[in-house]
Amino acid sequence: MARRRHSRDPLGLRRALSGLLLPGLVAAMALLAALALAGAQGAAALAERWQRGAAAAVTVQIPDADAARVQRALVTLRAMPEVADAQAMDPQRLAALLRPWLGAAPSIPVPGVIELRLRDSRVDPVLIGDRLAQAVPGALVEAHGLWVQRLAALARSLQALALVVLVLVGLVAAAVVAVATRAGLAARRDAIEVLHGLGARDGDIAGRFARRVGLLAAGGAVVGTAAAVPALALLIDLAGPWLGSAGAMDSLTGLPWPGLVALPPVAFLVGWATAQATVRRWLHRLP
Amino acid sequence: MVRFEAVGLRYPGGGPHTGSWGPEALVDVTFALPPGSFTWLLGPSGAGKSSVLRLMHLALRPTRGEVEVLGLRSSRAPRAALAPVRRRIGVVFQDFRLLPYLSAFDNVALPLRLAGRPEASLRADVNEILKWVGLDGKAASLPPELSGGEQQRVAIARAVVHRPALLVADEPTGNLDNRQARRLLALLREMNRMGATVVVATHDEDLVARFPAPALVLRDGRLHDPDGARGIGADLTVDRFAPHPDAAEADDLAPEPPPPTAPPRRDPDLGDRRSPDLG
Repeated sequence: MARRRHSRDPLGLRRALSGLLLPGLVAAMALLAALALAGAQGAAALAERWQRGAAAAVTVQIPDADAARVQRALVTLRAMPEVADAQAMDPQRLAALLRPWLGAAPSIPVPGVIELRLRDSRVDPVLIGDRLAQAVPGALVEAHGLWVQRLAALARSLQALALVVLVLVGLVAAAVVAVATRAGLAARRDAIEVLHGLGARDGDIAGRFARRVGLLAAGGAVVGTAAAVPALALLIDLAGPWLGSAGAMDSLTGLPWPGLVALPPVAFLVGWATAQATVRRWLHRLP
Repeated sequence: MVRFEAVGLRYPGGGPHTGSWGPEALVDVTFALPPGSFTWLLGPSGAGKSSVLRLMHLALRPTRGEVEVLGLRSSRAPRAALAPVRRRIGVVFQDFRLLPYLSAFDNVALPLRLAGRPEASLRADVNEILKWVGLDGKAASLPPELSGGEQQRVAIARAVVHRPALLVADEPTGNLDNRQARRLLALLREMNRMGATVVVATHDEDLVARFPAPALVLRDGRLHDPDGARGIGADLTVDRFAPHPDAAEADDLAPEPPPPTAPPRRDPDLGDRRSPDLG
């Protein structure tokens, strides 16, 4: 039994590359990667949602709307240099939007609504409102969309940051694997020289190291990812009100599952490739 | 088979692991060993015997000149070309170089596994070679559990299990008593009789006297060749075992188990490896 076990491990790597250090470090990094993944997904969802909300960055309400007043407001707005676009909202669409609150009663007067798109979101909409009110008395400017647009930009940068964190975590993982592999090489230097002398190809030796290191890294990643799932589920629960108006979103289905499932294989690949490169470079000192 | 041509060798900084280049450890070494020959490599410590052997089993490449081993010119061959040739060379080290965490069986099986032999077919071969060196009861033992002589026999079993075309041994008797040393030489001679080219470095003159054979003598990194008889073209094919089979030798060999005439392996394809195209 012992012989069978050893025969597949002529470098004794099970002992040279063992212990909990490498899997533990990779587990911690998988946890960070999972958090970054969830952060990236959450930021993307927020940005997406807020971007939609900001479609009409500024809306103008015209009380006592008749076609002439709306037309006058449109002309005035389109003449302003900071306004990129001004569109009157179709009264029927407006009525459809309001029906849940007002019912199908055509008698209630509905204000005319104009959607504005500004050339620059930093323009103060209050100034537009003041000038418009001179031409069309009673016109009101509503600018919540601008804030939403700024929040969406913030969410986009958070998403980019999360991706940068993901790349950094991968690089640190590769560095950790390289250090662990070098420790294994130092521990098995004699055995490697014996195998090399017996005619083992670089690929034989590097492959043994790479498989071992890859498996350790993948194992660590499984543990780290599994540990991240409850924490992420909790966070998603808390973020629920901002993300899903439906409110029925299950916190577990909201996790970035494809990314999480990919973490262990990616950890295996990072470990495998790093070990291959490290061992092959080391072997080049032998003739 | 093995050909050295004006070989010079320098180690970095006079030792293998320091900075600049040291003095030449070998200077203009030129000789050729024909296939199937048995050659002693003699000389005092530090004369360069180990360097010559390391060049032969491709653990080193010459600094200048050319070393040709089993058809490979090692000075300029690509690195990847060396490994397949190494697999046709058996090496016995003075310090054995067994893997301490592998059983005797697994140590001996290493060359076959590296060559990709399936597990089912190598088992019989390994057991047979262990029997040949008289260790059939110790297959499962780890090297630290074996005596020095037993470890040496595991090392030689590992060196010959894949029927190498070239077998080199560096002071193989250094750790053995006289009786074990003679027995080891009988095994090496048996490999030579079956077709392998054998080179043995030693400073044990008793042993050389018992097994007379052509010798390369090194002194201060140069081939000591007073009569010019051992350079390229010298006739090293004469088997000097044959002319000197005196009674004393026969007595020494007779009680050694196992009988040296038993071939280590009986695979039909092994017969081919013994044909003269080994070189």
